[in-house]
Order: sequence, then C-alpha cells, then structure tokens
Amino acid sequence: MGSLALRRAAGAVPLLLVVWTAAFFLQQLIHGDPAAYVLGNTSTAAQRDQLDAAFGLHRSPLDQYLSTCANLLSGDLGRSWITSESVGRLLSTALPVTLSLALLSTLVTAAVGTALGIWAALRRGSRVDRILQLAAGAVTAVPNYWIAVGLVYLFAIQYRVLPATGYVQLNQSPGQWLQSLILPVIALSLAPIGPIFLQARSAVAEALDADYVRTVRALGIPRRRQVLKHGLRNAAAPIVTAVGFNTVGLLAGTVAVEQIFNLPGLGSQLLSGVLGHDVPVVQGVVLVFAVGVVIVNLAVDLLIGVLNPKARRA
Amino acid sequence: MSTVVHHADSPVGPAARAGRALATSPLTLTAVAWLVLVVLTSVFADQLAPFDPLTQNLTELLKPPSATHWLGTDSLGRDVLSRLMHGGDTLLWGAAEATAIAVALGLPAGLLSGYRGGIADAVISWLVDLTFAVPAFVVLVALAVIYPQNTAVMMAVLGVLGAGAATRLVRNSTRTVRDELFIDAARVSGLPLRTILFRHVLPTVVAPVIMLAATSMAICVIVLSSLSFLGLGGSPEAPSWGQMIYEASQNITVDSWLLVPPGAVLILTVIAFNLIANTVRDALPGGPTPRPVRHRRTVLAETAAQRPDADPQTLLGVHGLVVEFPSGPVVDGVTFAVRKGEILGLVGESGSGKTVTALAIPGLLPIDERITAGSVRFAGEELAGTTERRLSRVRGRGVAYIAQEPMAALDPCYTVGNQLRAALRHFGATRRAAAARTGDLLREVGISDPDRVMRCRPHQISGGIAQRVAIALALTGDPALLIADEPTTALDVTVQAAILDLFRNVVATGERALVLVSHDIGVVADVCDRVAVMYAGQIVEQGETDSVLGAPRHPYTRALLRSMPSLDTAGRLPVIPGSVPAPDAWPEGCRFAARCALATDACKKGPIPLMDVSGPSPRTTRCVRGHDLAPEPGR
Ligand code: SF4
Repeated sequence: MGSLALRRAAGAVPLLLVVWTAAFFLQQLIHGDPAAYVLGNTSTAAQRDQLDAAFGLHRSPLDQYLSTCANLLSGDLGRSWITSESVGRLLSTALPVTLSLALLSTLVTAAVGTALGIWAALRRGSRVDRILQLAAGAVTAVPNYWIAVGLVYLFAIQYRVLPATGYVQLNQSPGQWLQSLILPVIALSLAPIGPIFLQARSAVAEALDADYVRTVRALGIPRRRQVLKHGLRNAAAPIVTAVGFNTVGLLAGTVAVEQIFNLPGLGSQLLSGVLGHDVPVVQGVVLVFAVGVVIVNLAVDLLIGVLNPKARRA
Repeated sequence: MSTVVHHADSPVGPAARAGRALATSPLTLTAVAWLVLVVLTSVFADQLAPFDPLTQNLTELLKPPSATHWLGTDSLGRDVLSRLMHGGDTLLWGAAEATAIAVALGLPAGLLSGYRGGIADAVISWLVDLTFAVPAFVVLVALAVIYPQNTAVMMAVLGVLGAGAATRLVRNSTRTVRDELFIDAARVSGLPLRTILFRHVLPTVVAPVIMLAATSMAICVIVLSSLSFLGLGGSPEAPSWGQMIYEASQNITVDSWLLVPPGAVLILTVIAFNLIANTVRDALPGGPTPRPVRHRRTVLAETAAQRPDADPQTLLGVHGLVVEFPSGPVVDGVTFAVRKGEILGLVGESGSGKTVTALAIPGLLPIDERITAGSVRFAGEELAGTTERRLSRVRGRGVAYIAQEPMAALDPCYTVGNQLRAALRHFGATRRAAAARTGDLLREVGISDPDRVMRCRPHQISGGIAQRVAIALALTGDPALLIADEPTTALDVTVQAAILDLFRNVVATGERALVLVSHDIGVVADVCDRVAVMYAGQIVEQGETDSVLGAPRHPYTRALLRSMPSLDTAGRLPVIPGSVPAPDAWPEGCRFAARCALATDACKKGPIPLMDVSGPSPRTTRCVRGHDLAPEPGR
C-alpha cells in the first residue's frame, strides 16, 4: 500500500511541474510591459520601474523562471505584485476556508448520494426509484452559483435563519464555523449528489443481485445485514471513484461559491488576483489546486487499494 | 438460466440504435424540441424579441411579468424576455465551439492512441492526464488575469481541456473494437490503417462521441455561464444568462423574481443536453437492460395446502408448482416429494426449469420471477406465497441452498472464516462457540488445513475448496433439507467425486435430505436414491434411480442416458440433437415431440398427462408410449 502511494506521488511530480511552468509562462503572455499592465495607464514611469526592480520583471523569462523554481523548492511561492505580501502566507490563510468547504461538501455528497443510492437500489423499478433518477439528472444541471444565490435569498433574506456571508474560523467557534458553511456546502453539494447517487444505485443493485448476496439470503440473514455488510461493501470501490471525481469538480465550484458567500478562501484569492492583475497570486492558487487534485486522486487510489480484496494479502 | 439475454447480437449498429432510442423516448424528444426552440430564438433574437435588450426604461423598474413585459423588467427597466432571448447566443456558440474543438482533437488522438497502443498511447495518455491536472474552470478563471473578457481564448482552452475526456473515451472504445475479430480479419487482409480506422473503427465510436458531445455541451454551458456570472466571460454589455443571474443576485433583496427566468432557461438547457447524452448512452451496448417488473406476491389459495401430509417422513412436498417470468410460465405444474434421508436428483438440460424449481423452494427467485400456483410444503409449513420474514426463518435452519458457482457464491470482500462465523452467530452461537465451530465445520467438509483456509478470501482458494466452504456455510444452520444446484459442474472430475461423497455423508444421518440439481445424469446415477427428469418446465419421468435409469420409460430419459459418457465408447456421444424449446414455443402436445424419434400423431394432440407405470416401486412418465418402452433386456 505504501509503495503504491509513493509511486503515485512520484508520478504526480512531473505533472505538477508542467502545471507550475505553464502558470509561470502565463505572465509572458502579457502584451508589452507587465508593470504597465499591473499598474494601469495612469502610472508613472518611476512607479513602473520600481515594480520592475522589485520583482525582477526586466530579466529574461528563463532567468525569472529559474529563480522562481529555486524559490519554489525552498517553499517560496513569490510575492504579490500589488501588496508585496508573501503568496505563501496569503494562501495559507485562505486554505483552511476552502479545505473546510471541500471536505464538508465531499462528506455530504458521499453520505447523501450513497444513502439515496442504497434506498433506490432496494426499490428498483418502483416509482420512488424513477423519481429519484429523474431528480438526480435534474440537480446535476443546477449551476452552483444559481442555487447559492437562491439559498442566500431563502435562508438569509426571507427567513433569516442562517448567515448570508462571512466566515468564522473553526478554532474561534465551531458552531458558528459550521453555520457559516451550511449554505455554501449545500450549494456545492447539490449537483454532485446526482452522479454519486446514480453510481451508488447501480453498484449496490449489482452487488445485491450477485450470488454472494443470495448465499447470505439463503441463510436467512436479515435484509439489513445483506445490504450493509455485503451489498455496500462490494459497491464501495465504484462509489469512492465517483466521490473522488466529483470532489475535483467541487473544488472548482468553490471559486464562485466563495465569492457569493464572501468566504476568504482560495477562490476569492484567485478572483481578486485576476481582477487586480496580480499574476503571482494567480500562479500560486493554480498550483495549490493542482496539488489538491493530486491529493484527491491519491486518496481515491489508496482507498480503492484498501477496498479491493484482490489487492490485499490474506 | 434465470437470466434473459437482451438482443446481445442485434444486427443493428449502436449508432442506429441510439438514433432510434432518441426518436422514441418522449422525454428525449421534448429535450430536442427545447434545444431547437432555444437555438432558434437565440439566432432570430433580433427579429423575435419584443424589445431591445439594452434599452433602459427608468419608469418601468423591476416590474413583475405583465402583458407587455411577459417576464417583467430588470433593475434598469430592460425587458427580461428580450434579454433572455439575446443571452443564449454567445453562450451556446461558445459551448459548441469548445465541444467541436474537443471532438476534433480527441477523435484522432483517441483513435491513434487506442489503435496503435505503445508509445503513442503512453504519450497521449500522459497528455490526457495533464488536461485533468487542474479543473478547467480554475484554468479559465486564471487565464482571465491575462485575457480578460476574451471569449475566443476561453473557448479554445476549454476545447483543448475537453479534448482530454474525448480522447480517453474514444481510446477506450477503439481498444474494445480493435481486439474484436473483424478488425483482425481486416488487418490480415492488408487494408491500410486509414481504411481500417475509417471503415471499421469509426462507426463504432460514433455513438460514444455523440454522447460525449452532448455531455460536453452541458458542461461548457455551465462553465461559460459561471464565467459570465463572475464577470469574466465576454463583454459586460451583451446580455448573457450568467450575467443576468449576477444582476439578479445584486437585486435579490428587492426582487427575487429576476433569478427565476435565466436560471430556469439555463437549467432546462443543461438538462436537455444531459437527457440526450443519457439516451445515447443507454442505447450503447452494455447499457442498462429493461428494468425488471415487480409483481405483487399472490396469496395462493391452493387446496393442496389443506392436504394432509401423506407420510410423516416426507420433508418437502412440492405440488403443482408454477413459476412465471414476466413473459410467462417457465415451471409448469411440478410435483415431487422428498423424504428424510433421501437424495432426490432433478435432472434435465438447461432450459428445463430445474434451477428455477430449486430456487422457488426457499423463495429465492429474482424479483421478476414468481410462484403463481401450487404449493411448497416444508415440514408442514407452506412456503409458497408466504412473507419474506417467514421464509427467512425457514432458510438456513430448515432449507439451505448451495449455488452453482462456488466462487461467486462467497463474498469476495470477506475471509472464509468471517463468513462462516457471521452465519454461525446468526444462528445463535456465541462469539467463542462460532470461532470454535468454524474449524470443525471446515474439517467436516474435508478441508485438511482449516486454519489457513479460514484466513483466505474466496479468490485465494481453489474451486473445489470453495465448494466445500459453500457446503460448510450451508451447514451452519444445521438444515433439514439441502438444495444443491449443479454443485459439481464447475469442478474437475476427481474433485467432483469427492464432493459427491461429501453429500452422501451429509445425509447419512438419516435426518437430512438433499435435492441435487444437475444436467449430468452420471452424477445423478452416482448418488441419488430417486430421480425426477425435467423437460421444458415439467417433470417427464420420476421414480427410483435404479429403475428409471435401468429401464427408462420416457424417450427423453433414454436420450439423456445415451449422451452419457461410458467406458466402452471413446468420450461422450453427441448430445441430443436440437434444444429444449423456449417457454413461448412450448407446443400444445408433448413438449419433447420435436426431438423424439418415437413421436406419433397422438403425441401432438394435446397435453400429455403423467401416467402411472409403477412396478415394485412408484413410477410415473409423461409419454403416451410409456408402456411400449419395454424394459431393456439385461438390466
Ligand atoms: S409422448 Fe410421444 S413425442 Fe412425447 S416423448 Fe412420448 S413418444 Fe415422444
């Protein structure tokens, strides 16, 4: 198991390197003087020169690239062109927000999708099953930003039961932390529940039709045990794959959702970086997202390795 | 035999099938109609829209829907319907462009990678991995730092990133066809690669690509509208659905209605694309088979239920059993009894209904098959038509079932020991007693190293051991009746003999009975006390094994015996010519008539009843010429 993790992690290194390189050369695509682009047309030559000097923008692209790579190796993601703040520090304060969002949403999608999937698998062909399948198709089509705005309206404006915006740190107040995340998590989770439900439904149904479930049924073992011990266990690998795949999609969704709920996460950093022409911040966020994707895929691989009986030793 | 094959080898190609599926589903037709409507209104928005989408009217701010403004007006007094009609244009074009790029890149790359394999495949697969390295939406947002509002760049990048998924799909489809025979045949006949790809591979990937294109449209519409929502997608002047949702969010405290029209149009459009994708996918080979129909359980008011059990030694009495599939009956009036200490063989070719009969006894039929008439009395209790709850009390302790494929019958995720202990615990053993009994049980079924086997998962043991484990599992509840379905078919000959010995031991106590289902009359001859020969859903001959097999009174039994391997012939004689008629092709007269050498006109007149041909022991046969089939000399 450990060796699989190592091999996977090693395979991800060149991938991340390409992502980082591409993100770096993003700034080479700026037409003309980057300093003028960042500071705008009204800036003076002196201001521009100052920026050039501070960030070494006058050096050759290769030169700049090599020095950013060297910095990266020592854990330095560079500094913001606008505030001169360390990008690493900026992102490390934003990371917990996005991480909370993504983890909670993953848990919600996995739990709700699987539970409904089991429920429908036990009632295959019934009306509830068909309605759930249609609903799964429908929720997948709902953009997270639309449902987010709708949720703000319903729960924060109309009924005033939950805060519309803002974030409270977990160590400050776990209760408020959770409250500040309820609506964003719902907005992010709704669409992925559809595909996870469909996958869980078909995987559990297939397991329930298998001979080994008939074997335990033939022993008079109660339905609940048939489903939870044998059905769910055998359906776990495809469900985990679906959850992982949707978690990656959910990561992307945090950008719009953080914006709507005013959560100071990576997505908000990305957007303010984009609007402020702050290329180093954008580069940093892209790299963090790429690492996030690698970690999700690694986690899925490891879980499947644990779940697949043939990969295990007796 | 309980599975039905659904047009596995239908001559219609997948693309044609997908097309037909699209045309016949009302839901999908609605989806197509909606998309046509959206596209047409977007294209002809200038002509169709009642107002200019940009004209502000400060006297008509945030008006609800009315006769002039069907969907109301926004915060600048602009007509919502007109803005909606103009707002789909860029979005749909953008999605279509990105999708076209994805397919244009992914199709050749996937064909090459899937067909060629090797280095090309490795390189392309790595590039595909790269497209999944960062979520496409994040890439597009990041790009906006350099190219704000530049839709052309966004489309291109979205298309290139989407090409990853397209390549993967086409590659995998190509892989599957490549290995198929007709491709090999085409390759040896010296056709150039291009011809093979275009003529043979391309047609099979058309349907998957259509599905992918529809999915891609759905995803692109969501991604691009999200960018508009964030103010990053295209000119802020031109109306777009995403931007309308943004404007609605800015006015949400005063007017929530504005959120509805763009949201509804957007969601319906995405649903429509997804529906089309699903319809095409379901029509692909390997798509879901028609869903099973669930019947209500009929409560059987059979007089047989009141019939006193003739003999206190009778453990199981099956009387007039009828099992129906949604298409009709497959077991048609089967009657037999099993006494304590007895082994009864149910023998017949596949399609005879023997497995369905076996499954029906403990109520283990799949949900689309059910008992519609007759009675199954076990130890004085009626099992046909009873509740799952009552059945589950009989199962395991009263009747145990051993399935055909020992390997598939054990859960691959748990060790043998775990499964045995769980069963023993279910039957009331304490944790410690279960642990102790597990080893004993495995030894009883002839496993010499129970401690090792206990720690194995099913894939780590041989078929023979797996069958012994399955038998041990069936014995955990100390059942009075065992039903074993083809228990030796999957095993090689030496193991077969050992398993049959084991069955003999299991009933040797005299308190247990066994119903052994087999197509192999040799196996039946070896261990069964009595035999019931089944054909096309009926029992055609029944009696003591020696007398039935020694002097068959039914031509089918005879034919089965002749097809049995014997010592003086080299190997197995040809099987009986022809095959068992399917239930919908059962003739009115004798069901064996088409394959029977002795058939006369009388055989085809009407249903053949069971005839009593008892000698020293009870015998029945379902043949009008049963009396003519004189005992063969020299038995
Ligand atoms: S009834 Fe006629 S056709 Fe049927 S088995 Fe007997 S002889 Fe053959």
